[in-house]
Amino acid sequence: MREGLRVEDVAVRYGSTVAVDAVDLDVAPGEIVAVIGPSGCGKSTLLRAVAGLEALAHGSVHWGATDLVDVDAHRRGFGLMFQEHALFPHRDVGENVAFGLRMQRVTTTEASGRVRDMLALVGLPGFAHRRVDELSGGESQRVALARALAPRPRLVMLDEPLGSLDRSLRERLAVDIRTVVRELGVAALHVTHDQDEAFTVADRVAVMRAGRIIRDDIPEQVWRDPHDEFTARFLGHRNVLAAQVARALGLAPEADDRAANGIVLLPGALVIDPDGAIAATLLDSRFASTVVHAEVAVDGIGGIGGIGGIGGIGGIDGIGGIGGIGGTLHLAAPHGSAQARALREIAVGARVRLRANPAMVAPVTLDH
Amino acid sequence: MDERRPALNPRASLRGWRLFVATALPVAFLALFFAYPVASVIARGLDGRGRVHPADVLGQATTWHVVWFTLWQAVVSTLLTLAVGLPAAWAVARNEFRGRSWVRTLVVVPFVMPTVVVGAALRSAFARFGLDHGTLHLDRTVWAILLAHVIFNVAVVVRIVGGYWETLDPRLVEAARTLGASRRQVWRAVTFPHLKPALWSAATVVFLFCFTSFGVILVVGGPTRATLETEIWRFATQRTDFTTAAVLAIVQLVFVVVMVIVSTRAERRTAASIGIARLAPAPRPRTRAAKARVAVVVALTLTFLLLPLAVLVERSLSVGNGYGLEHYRALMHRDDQSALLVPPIEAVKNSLVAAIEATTIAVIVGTSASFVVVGGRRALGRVLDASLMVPLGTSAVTLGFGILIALDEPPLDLRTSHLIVPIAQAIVGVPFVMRVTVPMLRQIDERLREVAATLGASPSRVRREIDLPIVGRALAAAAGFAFAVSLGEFGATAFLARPDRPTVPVAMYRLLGQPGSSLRGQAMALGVVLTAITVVCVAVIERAQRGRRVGW
Repeated sequence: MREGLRVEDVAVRYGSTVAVDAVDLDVAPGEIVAVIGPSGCGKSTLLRAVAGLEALAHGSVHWGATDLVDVDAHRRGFGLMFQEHALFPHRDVGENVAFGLRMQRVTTTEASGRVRDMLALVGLPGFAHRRVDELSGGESQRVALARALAPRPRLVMLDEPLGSLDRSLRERLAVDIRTVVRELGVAALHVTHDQDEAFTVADRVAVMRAGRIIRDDIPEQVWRDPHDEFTARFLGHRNVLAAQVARALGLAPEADDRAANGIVLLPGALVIDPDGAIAATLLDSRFASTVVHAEVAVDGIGGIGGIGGIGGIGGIDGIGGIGGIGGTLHLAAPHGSAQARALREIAVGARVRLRANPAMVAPVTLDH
Repeated sequence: MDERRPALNPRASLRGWRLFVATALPVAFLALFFAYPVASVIARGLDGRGRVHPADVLGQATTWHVVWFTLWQAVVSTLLTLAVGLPAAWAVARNEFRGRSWVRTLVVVPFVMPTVVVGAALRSAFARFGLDHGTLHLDRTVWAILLAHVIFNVAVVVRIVGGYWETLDPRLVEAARTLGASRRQVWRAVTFPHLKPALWSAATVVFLFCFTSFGVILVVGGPTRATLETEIWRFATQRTDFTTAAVLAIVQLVFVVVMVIVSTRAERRTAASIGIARLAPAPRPRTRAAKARVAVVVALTLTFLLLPLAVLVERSLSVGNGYGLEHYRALMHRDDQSALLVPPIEAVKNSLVAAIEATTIAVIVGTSASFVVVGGRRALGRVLDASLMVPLGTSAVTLGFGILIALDEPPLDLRTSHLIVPIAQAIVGVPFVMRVTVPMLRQIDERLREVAATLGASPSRVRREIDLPIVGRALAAAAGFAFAVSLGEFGATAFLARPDRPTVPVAMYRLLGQPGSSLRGQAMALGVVLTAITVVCVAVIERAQRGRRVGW
């Protein structure tokens, strides 16, 4: 039997509430799988079930051929790292990292060498004798990562490991986590609600919704072809249109075997083009860190007078409601691009013509 | 669907033989040394051979007068103690100042002094300050009883509430202040809700002490102020009317059980996990006003608490018309006139040995019970939690008398074993250990245990590596409490200590009961020695804890 984590048909219940349902998931050694989904979707519960901290109502968790359901958390050889780092307050940094090694009865000299190596690996050489309450948020997370990895777990599980950190630190640490986990060749299960973090870290992304995994694929594939409206919106794709609206705009969804009843315009699909077929009114444009955002009301699908409904601006919902009533579309143009310059020259309230790139359109199933 | 065997949460990790031992130990201890003796007393009283019918006792108006007085003086004493103790708890827990650890230590001193001595000292203080007659007459009044109860129990509030207060993340208060909350609003919205479990805990302990107070009522209140406890004692020892004594003991027990159930419910309801709080060192008071507030609170509290002690010291040194050390020298030798069979100094050794043994027993039993309460099955935990609180509110007189008559024949004849005294004292010490460790264990972030488990720590290892060290600080404080209680215990010990092995309170009681200013002076000197030992012990425990800083 192939090594690695195999989760089959797992369900976890709290009383009558089903937190995780019919989940299948594989993680091979050396592979990093991110489980993403909004808070409350059951991703942390799934992780806890894998760790042995929650009882399974149904299904099985295997490592290779070994059934782990009757194996206690402390014998599974899985490392775990929490959002709030959960460092032991009564021990210093070195003792925190050495904890798992002590549990394995590793000799003191070997352990201290390993602690040194791990702290160096996470970029904190010489921190062994620091007290944990003297660490910054980022340092705490690095120590927590070192602690989880020190005992050479077969699988390391990261539960929103960067959730409490600021953005730039999060981006940097996400890369570091990938590097460190890669270097050790350990299987990793990474839970997050941040799709960028998932894409940065993971080889594969599993999208979770209401306790079920609805998608499991490589990041680029999930991003390019989200399959359903929920995933598309969760990944930040704002322009989701019903099929009839898309047809009205000349963007008929391709015939596919998923019986999609809508489309998603991926970022970059919509461009300003004086010769474009889509007539619209610019509602708003605003400056952000890497792009210029704009909202347009498209003739024919907008509300009365073609102006988008109240609240259409800036919301996640680029288009209000299925069927395109009161809809607006969202555009983003990288700074310095011709698109961004063009956007800046158009006054709010002015007319604008748009073109959609059919290569950047994917069929999706709409939520009801 | 097939239900697979649940993988275990570290929280609910006590199982198998460990759960059995952790449960069986306190249960057996409680059953053998508490339930069985108390049941024996009650059975003996109700077996129909007495002169009085049990129902008649309940029909008498005097019985209900006693119940009413016992109840209201306990309630008022508790409220007054909270009112005096909370400012002191705040001063010690939330402010860093020079001598802070000494203040913490000194506050406990009255609590551990024998009730008989404090009572006598309080009365002589009344006399000294002219409060024993005239308009401001306090001697032998209810006020004197309330005053004595407050002096004794302020330590409970300062230690339990103060210890908990230290774990309140100062950022919560700061956040509330920056959100525009006034001091009063911060107290209502942040501090008070956080402290509620500890307040319930402390109030319960104080109430139970006052409800079953014995020495204070006898000495300060005088013969006309009768509570359930003094009446049990009077009927059992002076009138040998076991039936009435037993009925009163049952009434007392019912009140105690009800109170304990109400309190543990309230405590659990109010307990909230505060997550991984970082113990920021308490700030030094910055402004002059803040400094003055702390200084005034500390000065008033210490004066109030230590005045009787000062009178005690003064009297131990008072010889004839002057002062001298003669009473202390006399402790080394047995006085021919004395009712003591040994030199009084022997009593000090006996007290220390018994207190060490009692503390060891109380810590072991209390800690294992705490783990069952927090980590065992819920129903089991609740029952154990409540049952181990009951001894705290049970008459020490009933307990001592019960142990004496119940454990007097093989296979368990403890009459001749010196362990009988520490065992009885440990019964009283266990609730102290638990009141401290249970809230602390409940408060430890569950994720710490989970992380430890995924790092390969078995459930018992998690307890050893995570729970115990984090609770350690609190546990040391609890052990100090148990030790102190044991040193000062009088009611049960009076029944159980063999004549040739008296503890200090017993020796003092015997000396005080005899005529002659020399013996009375020796009793005072003995009281000062015990107080000094207690101060040293509690200070040592305080310091030992400080070296091993826990990152809360």
